[in-house]
Amino acid sequence: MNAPDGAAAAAAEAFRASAQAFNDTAMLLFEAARQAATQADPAERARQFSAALQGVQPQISALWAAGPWGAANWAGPAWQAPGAAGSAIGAAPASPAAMGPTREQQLALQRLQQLTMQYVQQQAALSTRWGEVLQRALQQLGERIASGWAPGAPPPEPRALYDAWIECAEANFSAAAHSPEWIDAQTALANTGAQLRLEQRALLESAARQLDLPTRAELDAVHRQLRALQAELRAARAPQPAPRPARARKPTRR
Amino acid sequence: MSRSQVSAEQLARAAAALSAAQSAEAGTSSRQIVWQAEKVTLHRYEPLAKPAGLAPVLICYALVNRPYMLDLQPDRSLIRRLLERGLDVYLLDWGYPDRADHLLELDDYISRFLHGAVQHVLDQHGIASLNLLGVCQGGAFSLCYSALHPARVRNLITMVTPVDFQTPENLLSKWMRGIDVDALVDATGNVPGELLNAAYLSLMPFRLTQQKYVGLLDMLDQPQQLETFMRMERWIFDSPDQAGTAFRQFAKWCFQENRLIRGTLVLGGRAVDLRQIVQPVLNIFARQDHLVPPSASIPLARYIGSQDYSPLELDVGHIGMYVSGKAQQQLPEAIFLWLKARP
Repeated sequence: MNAPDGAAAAAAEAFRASAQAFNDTAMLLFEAARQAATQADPAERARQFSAALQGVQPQISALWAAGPWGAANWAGPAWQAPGAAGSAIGAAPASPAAMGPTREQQLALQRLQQLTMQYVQQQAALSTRWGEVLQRALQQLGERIASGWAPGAPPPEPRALYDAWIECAEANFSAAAHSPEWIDAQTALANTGAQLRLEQRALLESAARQLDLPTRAELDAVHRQLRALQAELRAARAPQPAPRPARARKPTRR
Repeated sequence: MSRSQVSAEQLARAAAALSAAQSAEAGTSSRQIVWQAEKVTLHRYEPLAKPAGLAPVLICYALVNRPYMLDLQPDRSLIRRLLERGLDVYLLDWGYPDRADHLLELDDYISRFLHGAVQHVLDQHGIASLNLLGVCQGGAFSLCYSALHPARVRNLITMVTPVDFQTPENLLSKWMRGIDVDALVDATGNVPGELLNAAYLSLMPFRLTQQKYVGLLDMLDQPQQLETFMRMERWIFDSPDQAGTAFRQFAKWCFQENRLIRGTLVLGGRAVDLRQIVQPVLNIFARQDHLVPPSASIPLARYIGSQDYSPLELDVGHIGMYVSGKAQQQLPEAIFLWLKARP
């Protein structure tokens, strides 16, 4: 059963993490607005605010990427490719030719290595797209705040800045997430993650067989047999159609 | 620190308030299990009013998430509102599939479990047909069932139900179409509920993973709101794993191949022909639904054979359809009056 027993603890933790992100994000945005507020000329104030927002983009990106749903963990904590997240990105080294009695194992390890490299590269590609979304969102935020900022008025409150930021971020994310480029990048990452898991399991199953331990594949075979038996049992228990009345036979001569 | 910043004191208060709200249970209406098949249970709710004299309503929920969202708390309960109007309400609960269930197929869910529940209700009441209310994916199941067994469904109600899975607004569908579903299911067996949750939250990541929790600041001194928040939070993350084979079929056949409207869906050797749905149909959808956009639901009218089709759009979101004040005011009465006009 998956029912979350610690729902309150999880919500409290989510609140703590969100509050921290809120504090950090709102403070960055507010500081940018506060500095721009010193400019009397609205056009200059808008220019300075936008420039300041672009300046804090690395921090904003880092804050988002650091969270459990950030770009670095995009597919969600439950679907991390083990060992892949956070790995250094580099060109895949040329694999030595697999030979000898352990040839199959060497090939399996090489496939695993290649998939891991591929996963990390695809994760980085998606992170780049995330960076673009955040950059556009900050640009939009700057324009939006500047356009509604009355001359001589104080900077907006951090909470208002934060809410406006979320709206801009969500709108830009939505536009990007519908694009073929985003979908391709995300799909590639998810599919490589699945392949990676399959390769990992194949290696583990190979080791399990050597130790005469049951494997997932064997258990699945048992499940299939059980399911077939259950279907037969249900069919046997199902009410049978009433037999047709026998035709009256013609009397036979003796 | 700015006065708008979250303080350590607020964090402590939030933790305490959430902890206090934790005991808020969902599913408040009295009911009993009246039928069971493997992990699937059929519940019948205790009446709350004089019977309206209408055929019983069987609610078929989705496989994802749990059906208690329809009876979250007394003032946010579609089921309670229907009971108060004298309807006899049954709810099908799919349970939590485990690894031994990974071979369950869509046909098992529709032709065995849903069919068994329908048959039980018909037998108990001595009637030939009932009212079927399908919600979200359960609505798609109800469409399949009604097409395969039209004589057993007197009236069909679909709620936030996808029919055309490939409309331009459907982000989830766009994301699903390129997924190697076979590799995913082969790698997971049953598809983890956590993975599906990640996908749903990913549709609006900034709002659903950050801003929603910052919004708690506004309700720290409102225990009832916090309790509702906690019930919702519990429901959102109470996600059963999906039986691998059924998920594989649903993802490929519906999201990737759009078979429901193409007339190419086959269950248990029988083609699902939506034109066989000739009974009255009430199709309810949510204007702001980001999971099942209206464009996915509205086309139903084009594909069914019914001459008595009623669309109903509410200005809410997907989850708001179950629990929002607006939906609570409009939806139960609309369903009741529609059924009353079709006894």
